[in-house]
Amino acid sequence: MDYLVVVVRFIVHCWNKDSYNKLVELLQTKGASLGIRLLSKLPQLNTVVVEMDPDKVGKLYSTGLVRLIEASYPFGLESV
Amino acid sequence: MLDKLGFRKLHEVGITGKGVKVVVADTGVYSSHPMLYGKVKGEVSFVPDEPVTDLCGHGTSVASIIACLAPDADIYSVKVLDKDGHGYLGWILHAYDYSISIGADVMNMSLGSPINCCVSSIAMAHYRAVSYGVIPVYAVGNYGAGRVSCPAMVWGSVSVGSSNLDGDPASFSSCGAGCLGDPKPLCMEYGGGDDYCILTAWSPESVLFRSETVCIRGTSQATPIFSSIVALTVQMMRDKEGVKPNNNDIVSWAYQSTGTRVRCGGAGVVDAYRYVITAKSVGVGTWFLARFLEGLRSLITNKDVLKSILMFTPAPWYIKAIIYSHIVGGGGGHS
Repeated sequence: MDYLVVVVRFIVHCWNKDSYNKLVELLQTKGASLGIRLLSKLPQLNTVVVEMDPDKVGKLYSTGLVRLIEASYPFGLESV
Repeated sequence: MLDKLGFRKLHEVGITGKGVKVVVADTGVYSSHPMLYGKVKGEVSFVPDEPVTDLCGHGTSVASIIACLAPDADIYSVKVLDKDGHGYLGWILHAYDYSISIGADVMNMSLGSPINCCVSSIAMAHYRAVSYGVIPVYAVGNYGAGRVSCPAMVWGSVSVGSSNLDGDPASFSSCGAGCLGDPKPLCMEYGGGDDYCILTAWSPESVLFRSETVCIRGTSQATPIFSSIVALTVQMMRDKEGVKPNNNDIVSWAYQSTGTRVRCGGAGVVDAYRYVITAKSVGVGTWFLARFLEGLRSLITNKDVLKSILMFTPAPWYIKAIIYSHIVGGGGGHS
């Protein structure tokens, strides 16, 4: 193997409903060519969950639709 | 629990959580369990390749506590942790989205992460859900003193710790400062401590161990106790007073109902009956007054100094009396 492609799950938080709708449309039509896979939509939060190479984070920010991109870090239950 | 925390007295007068929607964001719920049968009104899974049912047991434990203490509340199970009790932020956020979409009143999250999430999508989701009238209730974490779990650390959120039988915090129960220095946990409940555990339902479909009951402890178990108190309070305020309390009211009443301060500055163990009576007496919209009095209380520890200040304050005597009783009495003075 010459190189390793790292694909990470990211939370993409949009500025508002309009930005969210535009981003969802963008990912549904051009996501594959951009190398960004739309995993799930959270319309009440104007947020989507995507899977992509971390190098693509800048590309998403450059759309102007995105307020915050965050890696999907782990959670666990709180019993001992 | 029913008697120790005053739940039975509320149930006897018809305050049972009727008509209140409580979301349990956890490992799913085994809804066929005898303790939960007919009480789970909706189930959804956001864990890829797992059904809605509880393959861990933890969510069933949490839901059974709510079903016992708020027996007429409508429980909605949102599966965001897998059969091993693990999940990801991308799954957790669905609980907020779902809660907003169904118009939930309370969202119980007995889960957390040790990361700092003060500026994060989960903090944004929290405030958005609160703006839609959802009251999220979080486990403060089991990291002991000095470290608070996410999302319990989010400023102004309702966070719950677990106490020993004597009312002191359990050694494992997290405590410390929240995102903007507010004391965490907000309050405590008897969710199991260093000296006891509590008996709850468990999922017979669990991959960890198959059982119908388990004796368990943690802030995970303390959280649904307070969620139940919130559910009963929401019902009482909605039915009797015609108002819907919000997140800030819930925080405010916690301090006013206990009148105590414990390690880390939280409100101590909250009694359901006393809490509901406080809510009814004080009413909604007192959050700013409570925070103001809280600030004054931390500044003024000497009663004589306080009397002197009030003596020269140009305000009616009854206003001065209220301020004095709140600061010196440590709360609303309801019993």
